[in-house]
Amino acid sequence: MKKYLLTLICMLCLISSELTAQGMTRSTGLGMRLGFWNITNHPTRIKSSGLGESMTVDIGGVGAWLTFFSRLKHNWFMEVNLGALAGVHTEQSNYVVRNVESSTIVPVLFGIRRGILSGRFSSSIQPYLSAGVGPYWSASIKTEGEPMFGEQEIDSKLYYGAYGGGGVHLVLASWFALNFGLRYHFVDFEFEKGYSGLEFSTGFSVMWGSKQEIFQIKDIKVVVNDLYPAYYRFYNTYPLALITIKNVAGYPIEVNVKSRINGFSERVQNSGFVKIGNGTSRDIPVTVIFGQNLMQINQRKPAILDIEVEARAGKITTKSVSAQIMVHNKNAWNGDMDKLGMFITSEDEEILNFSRKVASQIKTDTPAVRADFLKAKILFEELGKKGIRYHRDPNIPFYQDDRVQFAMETLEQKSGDCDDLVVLYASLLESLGIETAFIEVRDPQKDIAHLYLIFDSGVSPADGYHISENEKRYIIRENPQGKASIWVPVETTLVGENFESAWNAGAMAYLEEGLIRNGIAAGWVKIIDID
Amino acid sequence: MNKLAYILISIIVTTGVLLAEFDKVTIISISGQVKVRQGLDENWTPAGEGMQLKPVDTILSEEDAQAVIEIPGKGRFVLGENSMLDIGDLRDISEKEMFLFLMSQKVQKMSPHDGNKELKIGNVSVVHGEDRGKPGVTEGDRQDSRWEREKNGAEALLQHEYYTNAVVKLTNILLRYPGINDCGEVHYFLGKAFEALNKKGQAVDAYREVLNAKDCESASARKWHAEAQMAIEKLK
Repeated sequence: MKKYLLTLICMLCLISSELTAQGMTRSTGLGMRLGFWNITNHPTRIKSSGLGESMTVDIGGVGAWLTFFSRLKHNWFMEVNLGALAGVHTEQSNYVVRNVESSTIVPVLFGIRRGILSGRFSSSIQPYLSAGVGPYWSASIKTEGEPMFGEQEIDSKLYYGAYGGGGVHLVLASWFALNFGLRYHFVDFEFEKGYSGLEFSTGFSVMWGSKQEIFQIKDIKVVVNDLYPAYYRFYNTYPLALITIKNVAGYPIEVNVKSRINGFSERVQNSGFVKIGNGTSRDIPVTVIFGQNLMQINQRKPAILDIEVEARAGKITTKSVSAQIMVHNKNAWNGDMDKLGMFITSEDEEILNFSRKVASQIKTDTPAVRADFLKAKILFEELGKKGIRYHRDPNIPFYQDDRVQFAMETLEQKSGDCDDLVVLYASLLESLGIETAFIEVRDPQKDIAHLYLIFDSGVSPADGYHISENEKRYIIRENPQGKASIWVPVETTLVGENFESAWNAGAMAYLEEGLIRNGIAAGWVKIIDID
Repeated sequence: MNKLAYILISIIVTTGVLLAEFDKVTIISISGQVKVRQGLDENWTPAGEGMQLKPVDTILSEEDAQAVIEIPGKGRFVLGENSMLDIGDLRDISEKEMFLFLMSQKVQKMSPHDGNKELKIGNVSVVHGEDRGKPGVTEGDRQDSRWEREKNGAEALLQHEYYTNAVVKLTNILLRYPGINDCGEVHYFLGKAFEALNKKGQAVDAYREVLNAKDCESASARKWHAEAQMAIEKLK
C-alpha cells in the first residue's frame, strides 16, 4: 500500500511541477471540502455481537466546509470558513435502536493563510499555513430508549475558539485546485477538552480574479522622440527610452527588456536580465539595433517602438507596451553639431576612390611636411572643377529640420549648402587620414548659423612658414597628448573658387569672429572635432 | 518693445561703436624700420606716419626701431624695438573674457569624447600607416626671432598696463612656440600680469613654472628665478 501511495505522490509531483506548474496566481477563490473531525470522542466504528442482535455505530465526526479566500498581498490571504460537521453514536439491540446521541458543530471561522512557497517557485504543489478564530456553535441531541418514545435531551451552546494548521493546494489550472488540509481546532480555547481536536479535510477550490502581478510598468519615458536615420550607429548604444519597472512580487526578480521597431530594427534587442529588489523600482534603458534599412527613409513617418518586459521568477511573465516615435528623412539633421559628424562617410568606397585618385596627383618630390596641406588644396580645387557649387537647402514645410546631404549625394547633385559642403570636404579629407573639425558660428548679430571647416595640416608650429608666413592664416591646436599642429580653416561655400580664396575667407572669419570679437571665448564660435 | 529687445539693440550698438573706434588705430610716429602687414597678407610693407591700422593688421619694429600708435579713447602706445604686435591684441578684453579665453584654450586641448557619443570597442591596439618620410619638429632661427618679437610685443602690452591682453597674448605664445626654452621668461611675464590683476593663484602657478625652468644660467634667467621666488613668498 505504501509503495502505491508513494508512487501516486511522486506522479502528482511530476505532473504538477512539469505540466501545470503555475502556483497560486488568482486573487480569489471558493473551496468545497469534506472534513473529518472527531467531535464525539468516539472512534468511528461499527461494533456488533451475536447475529446483529446488538450493534453499536459510532461516527466520530464528518461534514463539509465552504471556504472563501482572497489575496491580501503577495502570499497572504484572508479566509472565511463555514463548516457543518456531525457525529453520531447509536446503540441497537434486538434490531431496535435504543440510544442515539448526535453532536453537531457549526464553526464560522475567520483567518489568514500564508503560502509557504513564494511565487518564484512555480510548482503546482503550494503548501500553506493558516490560523484564525471564530464562533463554534454546537448542538447535541441525546435520546435514551427508543427514538420515538425515549427521553430526549437537547443541548446547544456557543463557543469561541481558534484553529491553526496547514494544507496543500494541488493547482491543476489557474482557476482550479485540489486541496488537502490538516488543522487543529481549539474550541473554547481548550487544547483537549470538549470538541477540540484534529481535523482532516479534502476538496477543491475554484479561483478567479486578477492574476498575481510580479512587476508593474510604472512609466515609460521616451528619450528620443525624433529619430534621425543618419545617427543609427549612435542609437545602437544610446537609449531611445527609459522604462521604469517596479517589483511587486514580494521577492527579488530578474527582468529583461526586449525592444524593436518593426520595419527598422535589425533584430530584437535584449537589455539582458537585471535584478530588481523586492518592492523597488528600476529604470532600464531601451535600445534598438538599427540596420541599413533605416537609411532608405525618404520621408518622415511615425514608427512604433515595441517593448516587451519579461520577468524571470521561476517562470517567465511578460508585459508589453509601445510608444510612438517619429522617424525623419535620411538626410534630416536636428542641428546638433555633435551629430553632424555622423554624416561623414570617409569609408565609402566611391569617396575613397575619388580622394585617392586626386591625392595621387601630388608630385613625388613634394616636401613631406606639406603633403597633407597640398592634398587638401588639390581636393578642394578638384571639387570646383567637377562643377560643385554652393546652393541653399530646399524649403521644408511644416517642421523644422535641417537637411544634410551625404558626400556622394553632393558629388552627384553637384551642389549643397554650407553643411553639405563641409560634410563632403570632411569626408574626402578624413578618407585620406587628414583630421578635420567643424567651426560653427552662431553670431548673435545674425539670424542664421554658419559652418566651415578646419583640417590638420600635420605641420608643427615651428614649421608653420611651410604653410604661410602669416600665422593669422592658421590655428594652432594641441592634441590630447600635448602635441601642437597647424590647422587650416577653409570656407567650403567658396567651392569653385581657388583654394587660397576659401582659405583666406575661413582664416579671416576665424580671426574676426573667433578672436577679435571674442566669439571663441564667448562660446558662439565653436570648434567641434569629428570623432 | 520689450526689455530684451532694448538690451539686444544696446549690445549691438555698443559693440558696433567699440569696433568702429578700434578701426581707427593710427601710427603717430616712427623711428627706424617699422613694417605693417595687412590682414592675411603674406608680405610686410613699410609703415608710414598717419597710417590707419585695422584690428586684423600687424605691426613690426626691427632692431633700434620704435613706433607710437594712437588708440582712440585709450591714448598712445609705444612699441619698442624688435617687437611684433597684432592690432587686435589692443582690443578691450575684460577679465571675464580673458578667463573665458583661457578656458576655451583648455577645452580645445581636451579629447573630443563626450558621454553622448557611441562607445568605442577597443579591437585595434595600434593604428598602422605612419609616414616615415615626414621629418620631426624642427626649430630654427626664424622661429626664435619671431618668438622674440612676439614676446617683446607682449611685454609692451604689460608695460602699458594692458594686463588682460598680455595674458591672452602670452598664453598664445606658449601654445605657438612649445619647443622654445625661454628659461621661464614668458611665465615670468604671465605671473606679473596675473599679479597686476590680483589673481594670486594664477600668478603663483605661473611663477612656479619659472622655477621649473632648466639649463638656464644667464644673468636674466637668474633674475627671473629670484624674482619669481620672491613673488611666490609675497603672494603666499
